[in-house]
Amino acid sequence: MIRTIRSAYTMLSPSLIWLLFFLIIPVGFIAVISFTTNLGFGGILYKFSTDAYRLAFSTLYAKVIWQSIVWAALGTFLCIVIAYPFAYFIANAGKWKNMLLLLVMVPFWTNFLILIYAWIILLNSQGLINSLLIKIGIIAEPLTMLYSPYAVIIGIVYGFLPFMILPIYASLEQMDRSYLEAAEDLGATPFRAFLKITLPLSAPGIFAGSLITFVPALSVFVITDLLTGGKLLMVGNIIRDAFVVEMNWQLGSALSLLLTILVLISIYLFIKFTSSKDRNLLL
Amino acid sequence: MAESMVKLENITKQFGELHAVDNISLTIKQGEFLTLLGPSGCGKTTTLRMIAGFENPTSGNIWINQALVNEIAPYHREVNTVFQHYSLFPHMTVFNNVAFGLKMKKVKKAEMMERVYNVLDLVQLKEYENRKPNQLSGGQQQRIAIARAIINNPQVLLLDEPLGALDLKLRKQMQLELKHLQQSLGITFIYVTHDQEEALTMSDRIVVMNKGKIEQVDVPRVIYEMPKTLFVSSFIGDTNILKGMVHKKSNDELTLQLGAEMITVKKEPTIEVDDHVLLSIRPENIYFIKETESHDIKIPVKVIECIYTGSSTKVVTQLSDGQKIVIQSTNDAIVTKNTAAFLTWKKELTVVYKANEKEETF
Repeated sequence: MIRTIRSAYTMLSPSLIWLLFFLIIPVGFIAVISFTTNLGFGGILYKFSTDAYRLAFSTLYAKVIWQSIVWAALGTFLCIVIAYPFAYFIANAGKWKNMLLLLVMVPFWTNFLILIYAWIILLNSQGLINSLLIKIGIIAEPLTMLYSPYAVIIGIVYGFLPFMILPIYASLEQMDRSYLEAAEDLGATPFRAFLKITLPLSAPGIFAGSLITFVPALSVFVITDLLTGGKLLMVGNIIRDAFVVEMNWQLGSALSLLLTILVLISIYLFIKFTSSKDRNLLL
Repeated sequence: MAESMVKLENITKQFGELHAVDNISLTIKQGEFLTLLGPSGCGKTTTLRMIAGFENPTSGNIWINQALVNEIAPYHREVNTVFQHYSLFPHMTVFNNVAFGLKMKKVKKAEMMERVYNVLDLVQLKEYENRKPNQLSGGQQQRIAIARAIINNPQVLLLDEPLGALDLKLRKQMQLELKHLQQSLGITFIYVTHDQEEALTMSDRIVVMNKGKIEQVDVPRVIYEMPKTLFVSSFIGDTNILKGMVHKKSNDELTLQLGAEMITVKKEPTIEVDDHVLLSIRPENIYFIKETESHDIKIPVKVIECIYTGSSTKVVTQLSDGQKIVIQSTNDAIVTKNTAAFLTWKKELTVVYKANEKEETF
């Protein structure tokens, strides 16, 4: 037994060392720095202080954190709404399955910034979407889509949709079709069979997808900068600003740590309410 | 006179080029326990799925309780299915699994509770109502699958190899329970199995299927004793298939040459003099006799092997022309290995088939 544990650690050691140096120690630094005293211009005085947390929980920053949660949640919800039918379609697409999955993955191979810049071209007031809508007479004046807070939703949905599609697809794919036959056999119309059988059985996929969409959506800052033109601040932006603009390392660290705790709580909730088998959907 | 409950009229089901079910017609009576029996790929499950409505026949008509159901969706058919792997809903408790059919029919809550408890009582699993299917043993899951399927009082219950996943002892017990359940509920059962013993034990009538076609439909006893085709006689139970040739034909008898011997059997209308024939004789219908005894059928053989099998002894013998005959004999049989012996069997229990070229390879 001891031998097997030892050999397991030996095999895991590269990743453990990696995690130690690039996750645990940095997070430790951040935790320590968040409780030090700010000397201004990035200066750190190693004297205990909770100033950073007081600032982080002040109305201004708390509002941004709350706002981030709301926008990220909204984006995640829209991802579910769009991804579910898509995943359902792929799971039932027979021989086209792999082809469609490949198409879902294609955006991953393109630089994220380029993808977001493409949206700028599509969304701006002289952009493709506005020109098209004006040309076919649906609108007279161009819509302000870019540089409005709502643009962040487009960015989140576009950027993280594959993270939602894949776990939902996986949960639908592994569902035994005979459950649906059993439901229909017992008098359920296909729609009710979907509500009573398919939907609950794919819920773990929705949870897993929501988690891996919500967590990165919470901390986006490139999307907010580029698509909302700075009109919307999310946690990601204020952390970046705290470090880079205000050079308040204590505040940046405190906000980072709070974000990490928020993420850990989400993961804890996911693990608590799903079985070990469903947790594999995260991988 | 019992009414017809399910009627299949010239049903064909094609999957691409394959004729899974090939022009079968069948009438199943109200309250009957009918078994579709055959090897895998014979079309029995496809037939069942067409009655349930999961597959549409390529051609032909299906009638349930005098109503044409070809265009009726499964959820509107008054039939329920016990699935091969039970297909219990994994996210629901036993109670909710069983109540599912009633909920779909929007039965009132008080009535629903009563009916669910009644049927759980019937399958003796009332105390398991709050368990999830994965917390039940195979046998318990089986009972829940049955409970779930009968709660809507279907006119016909379809069972797709329901005992296939159980161990032998439990299977034997469930066979009897199912049979009793069917008798007490009075529901028509259509039962699919590849296990001939199960079919013989439980059924009122057996439909033997092979390659999408019906080989024979009859009560178990006739299926076993008077198999109409060579396939039926070799698929159901053990049998000896012997090659022979017709020597003489009289008004009601055929005289056949079997090895060096002549035997007489009942006449078959399609068989003529000089035809090559195959005879099927069950091992338990063959007896050893003394050389001095005289019988209609008396065949000299050489004993090759005696195998003790517990309740009986299997004796392998050989005719003068080399064909082997297996006899299921009592344990006190007087034969010994490498000695000569004489066999007899009743001529009514000899089934004769005209040999065609294909079947000669048997």
